[in-house]
Amino acid sequence: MSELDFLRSLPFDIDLPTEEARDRARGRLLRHARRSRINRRRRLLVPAIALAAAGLIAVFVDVGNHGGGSASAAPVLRKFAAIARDQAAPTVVKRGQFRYTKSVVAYTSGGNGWTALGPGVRETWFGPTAGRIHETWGKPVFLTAADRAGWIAAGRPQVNPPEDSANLPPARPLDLPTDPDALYDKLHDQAVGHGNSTDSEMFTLVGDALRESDASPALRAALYEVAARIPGVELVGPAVDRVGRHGVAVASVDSKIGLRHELIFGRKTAALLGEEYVELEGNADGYPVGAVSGYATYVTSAVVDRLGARP
Amino acid sequence: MTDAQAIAASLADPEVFALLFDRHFNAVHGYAQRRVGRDLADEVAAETFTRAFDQRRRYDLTRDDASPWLLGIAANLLRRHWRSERRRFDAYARSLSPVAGEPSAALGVELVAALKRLPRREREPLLLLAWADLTYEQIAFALGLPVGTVRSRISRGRARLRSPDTGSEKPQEAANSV
Repeated sequence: MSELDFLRSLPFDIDLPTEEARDRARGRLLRHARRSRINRRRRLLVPAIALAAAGLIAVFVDVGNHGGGSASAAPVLRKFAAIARDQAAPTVVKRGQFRYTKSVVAYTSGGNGWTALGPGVRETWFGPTAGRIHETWGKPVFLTAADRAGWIAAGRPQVNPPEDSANLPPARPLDLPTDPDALYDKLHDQAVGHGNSTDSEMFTLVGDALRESDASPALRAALYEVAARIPGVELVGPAVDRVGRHGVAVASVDSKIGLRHELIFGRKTAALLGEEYVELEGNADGYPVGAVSGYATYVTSAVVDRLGARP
Repeated sequence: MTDAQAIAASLADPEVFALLFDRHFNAVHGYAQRRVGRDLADEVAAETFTRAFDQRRRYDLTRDDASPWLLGIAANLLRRHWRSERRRFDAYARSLSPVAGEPSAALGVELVAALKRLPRREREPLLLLAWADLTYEQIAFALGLPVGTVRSRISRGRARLRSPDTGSEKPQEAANSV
């Protein structure tokens, strides 16, 4: 036996990771990935101010548009739960079909020593067998002369292509209970030890289950009921999304980073219209209080028969 | 969708990176488990993927298979756990003792002792070859070394593992490395 064969035969008792260890590690990675998205959104504010000042996108920063808001959101969320419970089930996405969602978003992207802003339109297709994402990006804007210089030093890499497509893995089934008590326990277990606080992490998980998803009316009702029970979830009040639809915003505050994450729901439909990230007193980056540092508005949702097809 | 395509897509949509986890977690965990045992492997494997996520902008997108990259990140994390690894090697040596009457077991105990003494620069590529089944070229990519360097370090490492009793290297063994 060569020493190499011997080495290969050495560990006699290698097991697969336990289901629990694997789930924990996967959850850790996903939360890490999501935080990076929030951080990206948080970095939007400076360029947004620059752009607004240049008159390019006046709506981007709407300081003070969101009011204060510390009343409990529980009554309005329970009303939304009641609305959702009575709604017809959405069209089932069959094998070979896809849930199409179009949203208006703006992310920053960057490399070592530079950051640039690319506002975009995001379209996703998720089905049981495959998924796809297509994004169209506006012209990138460098935040500062230093960012531009950093980009030049990096060899002028492409920031965002005008269009960007990728195939995605199939949609993972939501696999969440529709009983509010069971759902609360499940989301609580997933949230403990992650994010900056269990409460804000639970709110994030509620948002995760709602966006670009096929949640049934019963599940949406349960998610709203859970949100009503999360300590500190507050009613922000009437809100208008990025395409002018009126709704009601509820929010969770992450006091560690001074950030309020708002979910805007249609007043009559109780559907998720959009999300906003609002900077608060004492936010780590010194942004103006009330400034919006990121958003997504969900414009269209439909079932289509082909990957890449639009309704 | 290749690993490289998933990494590219994850730049716009971070959660796509979970695809890499689904594909490679067991392999990374298995490799870490061989080196430091199951409990530490849970931690090392989990951290490998969050680190990889942070480093994904620097990934060479011409490489479809990301497993060498991930194992290289794991190898770097394992450097912190050398004491655990030594204990693990001792446990391997002990597990060989009950059949110490067999010549191969005695040989094994010596080999494990030699593995413990091996300098890290030789142990690392050797274990990626033996326990992660990477090719020389993949090991070079994982560790950021030229292929020739990997080749010579592995060959030196193998030579050191051979106790004087086992005699000199046979030609066919030298050839079966990859």
